[in-house]
Amino acid sequence: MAVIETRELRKSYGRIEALKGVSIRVEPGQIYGLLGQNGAGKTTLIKILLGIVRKTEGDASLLGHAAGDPYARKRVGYLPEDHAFPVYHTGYSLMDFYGQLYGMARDDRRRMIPEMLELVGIAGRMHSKIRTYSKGMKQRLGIAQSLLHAPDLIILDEPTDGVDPLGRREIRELMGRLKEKGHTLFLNSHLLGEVELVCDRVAILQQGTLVREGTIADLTRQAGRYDVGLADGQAFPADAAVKLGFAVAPLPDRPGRFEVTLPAGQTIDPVLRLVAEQGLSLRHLVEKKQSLEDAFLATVEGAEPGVDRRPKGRRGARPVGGDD
Amino acid sequence: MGQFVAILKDSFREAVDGFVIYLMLGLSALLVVLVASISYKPAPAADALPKLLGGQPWEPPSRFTVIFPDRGKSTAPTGVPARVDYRPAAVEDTPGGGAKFVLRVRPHRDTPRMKFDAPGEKAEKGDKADTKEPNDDDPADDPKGPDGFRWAVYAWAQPAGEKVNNPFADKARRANPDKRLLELVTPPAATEADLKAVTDEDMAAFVRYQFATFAGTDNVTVTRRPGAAEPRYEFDVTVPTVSGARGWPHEISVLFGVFPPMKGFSLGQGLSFIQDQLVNGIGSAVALMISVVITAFFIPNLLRKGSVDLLIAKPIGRVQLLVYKYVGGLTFIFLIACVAVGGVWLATGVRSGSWDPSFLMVIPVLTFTFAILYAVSVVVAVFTRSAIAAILVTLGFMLFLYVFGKVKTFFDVNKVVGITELPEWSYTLVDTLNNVLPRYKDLDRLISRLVAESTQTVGDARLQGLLIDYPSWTGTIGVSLGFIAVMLALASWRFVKRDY
Ligand SMILES: Nc1ncnc2c1ncn2[C@@H]1O[C@H](COP(=O)(O)OP(=O)(O)OP(=O)(O)O)[C@@H](O)[C@H]1O
Ligand SMILES: [Mg+2]
Repeated sequence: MAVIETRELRKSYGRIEALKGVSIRVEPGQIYGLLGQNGAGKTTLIKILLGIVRKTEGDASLLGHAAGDPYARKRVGYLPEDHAFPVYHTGYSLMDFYGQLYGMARDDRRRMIPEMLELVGIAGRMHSKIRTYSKGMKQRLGIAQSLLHAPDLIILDEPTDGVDPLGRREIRELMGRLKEKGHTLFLNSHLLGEVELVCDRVAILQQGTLVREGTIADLTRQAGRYDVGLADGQAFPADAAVKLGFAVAPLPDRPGRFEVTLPAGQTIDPVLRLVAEQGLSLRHLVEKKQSLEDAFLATVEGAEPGVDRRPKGRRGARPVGGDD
Repeated sequence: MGQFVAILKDSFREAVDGFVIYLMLGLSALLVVLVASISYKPAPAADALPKLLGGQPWEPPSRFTVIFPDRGKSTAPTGVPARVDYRPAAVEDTPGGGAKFVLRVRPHRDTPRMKFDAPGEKAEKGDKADTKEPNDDDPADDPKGPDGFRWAVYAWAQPAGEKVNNPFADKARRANPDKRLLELVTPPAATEADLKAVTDEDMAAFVRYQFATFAGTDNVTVTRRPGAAEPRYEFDVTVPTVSGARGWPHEISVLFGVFPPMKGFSLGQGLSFIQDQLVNGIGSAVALMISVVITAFFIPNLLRKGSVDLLIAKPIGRVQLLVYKYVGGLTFIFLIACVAVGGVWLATGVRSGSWDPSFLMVIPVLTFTFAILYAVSVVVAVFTRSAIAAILVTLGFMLFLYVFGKVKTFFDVNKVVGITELPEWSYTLVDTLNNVLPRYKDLDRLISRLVAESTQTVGDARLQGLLIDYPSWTGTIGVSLGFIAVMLALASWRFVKRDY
């Protein structure tokens, strides 16, 4: 059974189409990242799953229950973006309140609350009113409350928003541990470096449409691309290389450098031989590694024709990798 | 259930957050201290009894002349056409706060008529009273006629006669046959033999009953004294204690006796002033208005972006959430009512020895009154998400209900008395509105009644009940509950349909 499943999910807010037929599937035990630009519809998708927003069309289910069914939310923890906790609570009393809403027994609450707050590093302030918390402390409290009842699925909308770098690493490690314990995590984030580090699978939303979906390895896979540079003053034999079947493109932001893309089943060796045969000296040879960020930007920009930034191509890899 | 308790506790937290609740509790405490500063000292019997029994020729008939037939089981009173006067004599205060006296009963004699000069005519000296001053102590001067006292005792002991309306209420009854206005029962016709058959024990029991009913004194011993020639009677009366007797005149002093005590009010009048005017009148109006303002923020806060998601994402339905939150909003006024009403009750109890718990009913009724207003506030808040809008509309509604209550009263009175000619449709409009609007004013009247019953003597409360047309609890609560249900249904519908 999938933990989260949506089929052709659509949502319009009046004239704004926030989701235009999104189908995703999250398996148990995964950390699943949902990426997309501002306004892509990430939060909308989560809100539909939790019944905060009603879908317009399509299907969505959570742990086997239709989204929106209060029962479906029983085993789910949620950290909303831009949350505003009631400030008249202390960290502890808020957790206690939420624990009661989830039907936790008093003893469990007493045991779990300090434990969870310890985990996110704010146990020392748990009896202060939330109005005295800093932004990052509130965010940590938000994470703690989403874990309190040991939910099967934890949905985090920008979990590291407002958290300092050290805290972000702690949260990353925490997510890893939660995964080991068998929880499923679903998160929205703009911090792609982090997503790359923790997520198993990601989906990229672009203006309400799912444009890519797969494992991190799928998305960052590079079809053998090399950054090649020769000694000063030497010209790269581009025409000869193209004749051999390699795609060659100058790297615009680095004069004298070229990106060489291998044809299927080929290695870089013929190019190296060509350089040696022509008496040129190789100074720079790096296999290009695409980060998730690259992949994301490539995807997002590629799917948005007509933007004037595009011909400039911030990354050399893009025009080549744009189509297969 | 767990969720309900959780949300109640949460609302409680929200209510006690911030200074306003402490201000309110402080005001309540002040009220309690003020009430606790009032002391009630039973007036000495020599002062109290004439006030209690009345009976001077120029005074209106004393309450002792009112008879509840069927040995008091009939709540509708009667009187007998031959009026009697009750007067104390040989009054002594006894140790232990009681009193001992002789109760003299004799036929009533009217005030000697004065002759007034016609305007413009010169008055001549010595012309004023041309009737001979009757001698009080001379039984020969007593008016002739049936023996009023025996008749009273007989009427008291007999089953209640036929119910009649006073003529004043007749017109009202024609307009609205269900209306109960000033209901009386006819006194039984008594033959000479019937009156003869009244025993001394009956007379003593009657006097005892009248003291219990109108003075609120218990365990009074009454024995008939021989000697007085009928239709005059004399009784030895011993009241073991007058402390806590609601009808007994008391000396009431406020602020721990800084000011000289007020004389002439009975304990019941004092208590009913505090409970009905001070607490149920001014106090509850203030509490309601402040509560409307404070609680108006609860739902908009809940619906704020970032806050509403947190709760909706919990495994609880939206309707439940809203209804629980609504009930939770009532905790604010409930708390204040508990402190103010409970405190006043304790303070008056300790000071006066009167511990009738009916007054505590003000707590749930005040909370219920607030529930009506809060339902309006919740609807406005769910639709507008603005606390200011909720406050303005709710206070406006409160004012409207108040004014409508007055209009309704005017229409009711007008129906009876015919102050002015009003078109038929206006009656229909007022009655229809009254049928669907929450009974805000009626709740207030019902509290007045509870207070009357808990502070005044049985007799006074019954007499007050005859003058005021009390609404029924079921009608009042029922219509109001219906109103609340409609409001909450409307709010729920909106809350459920909306995306957050
Ligand atoms: N309540 C709403 N009413 C109207 N439009 C909305 C509402 N919520 C979201 N939208 C619109 O739906 C689209 C998707 O919004 P959503 O919040 O899902 O974006 P997001 O991917 O979470 O963006 P971000 O990264 O900025 O959080 C946006 O165009 C937004 O303006
Ligand atoms: Mg978002």
